[in-house]
Amino acid sequence: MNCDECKEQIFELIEQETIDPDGVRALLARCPDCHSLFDETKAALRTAAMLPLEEPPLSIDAAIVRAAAERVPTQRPSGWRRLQAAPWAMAAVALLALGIGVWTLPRGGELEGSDGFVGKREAHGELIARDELGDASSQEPVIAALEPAPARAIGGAEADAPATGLETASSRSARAKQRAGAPVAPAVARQVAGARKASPEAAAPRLAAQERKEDAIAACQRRVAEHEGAEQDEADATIDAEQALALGECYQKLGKKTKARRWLTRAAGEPVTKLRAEQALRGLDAE
Amino acid sequence: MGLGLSDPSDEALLAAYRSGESRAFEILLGRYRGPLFNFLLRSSRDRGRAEELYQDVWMKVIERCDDFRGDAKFSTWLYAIARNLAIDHRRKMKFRGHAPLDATQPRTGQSIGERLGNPGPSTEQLAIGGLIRARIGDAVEELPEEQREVFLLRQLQGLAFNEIAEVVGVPANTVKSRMRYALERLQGLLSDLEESDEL
Repeated sequence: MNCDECKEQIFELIEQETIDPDGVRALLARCPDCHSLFDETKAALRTAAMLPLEEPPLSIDAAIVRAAAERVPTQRPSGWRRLQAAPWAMAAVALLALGIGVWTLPRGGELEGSDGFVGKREAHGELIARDELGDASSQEPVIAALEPAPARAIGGAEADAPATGLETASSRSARAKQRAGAPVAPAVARQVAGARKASPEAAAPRLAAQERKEDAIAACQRRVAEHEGAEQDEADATIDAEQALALGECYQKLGKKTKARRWLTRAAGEPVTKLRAEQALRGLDAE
Repeated sequence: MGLGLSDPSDEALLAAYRSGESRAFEILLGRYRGPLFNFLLRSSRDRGRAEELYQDVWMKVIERCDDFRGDAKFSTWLYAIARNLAIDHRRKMKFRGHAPLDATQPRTGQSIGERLGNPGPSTEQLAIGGLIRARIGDAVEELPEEQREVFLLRQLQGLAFNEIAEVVGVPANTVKSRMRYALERLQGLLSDLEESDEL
């Protein structure tokens, strides 16, 4: 270590964050200049420690505490938390539901879709489980607040701006959890995820892929027939974003562009399916 | 979340608050009120504005606590919010060009107008220790913004350099450099205190 390197690390030595404390100490012992800088830095830190501190007004603290108490928690009420106290039971129920699902869901129905389509069964639970397990694919920037302060109108709305660019599976699932009312307990998520690996459900994506190839058109025909056979107004009102997207894609596959556009546009209006629906709409325009 | 734990983490407290335990929020507030307020005070150089910012920061925490993800520390999230609000404030003040006359001063808590009507500093304010501290406060406020924020985050909150780096959005080595420059500058600004052996 030379004097320049030593001088760079003197401060870190004092702050106990240096990477080579012994090297710095050795040089300090034999170099008067470096030692002098060491003493000066220590003195400066002592001086800095005398920075006067002031207290915020207690009245403001009281107002903040009142505001905090008035916030309505977005998570599940305590009754639900009591249910969560038995994660093994929830895992068992989840397993049972998944097992039943494998045998009762129409092949190629809910798992049907074009590129990027996520089957309805997978949408939330799987993402949440992956999120809770720290799936490497959900690596993302740390926190929304660490975004550089964006320019904004006077009035202080910067922190309310949506964290665009940070929209990932993890953040989406976090919001989905909020909408649902509470996060899935990590232990439950792990059990569910573990159970899925061991169950026939683990093979579902492969089966779905195979069926997509073999029977995509037929599945779409079934879906469309079911939809058109139902009472239209009532059926339309109850269709959620994923179903709208799937229906739009089916109509697209069957060459019914007007209806495809209608359902894809509807799906594009929902955050959860926006990107996929817009992609499908672009494909429709290109046809 | 067990608030009965002897020393729950900030993140655990925030999670408890999110699930409806407002007592957890009070504990968080108690942990950060002093350092956060002083950070804002020295950043804004105006007590009145610091009080506004202080309140705004906590309101943001309340509003946005559902956005907080557990892969970051609460402290870095809190100070990132505080820093952003302080930056916004400075942008606005640039258009004004000077502090408003009703702005209170960090050291005295009094506006210029109030001080004009004041016959002089109190005995307490004249105490040598008080004067030295006031000089240090003034010297800190004279630091360039980039150095000052790093200095304050380190000195007031004791954040690690990598945590400060997250808050201000620069590499940790840059943070260390800024801290060194801040100390050198403070040494220069306060050298007369050391020479006169007042310390």
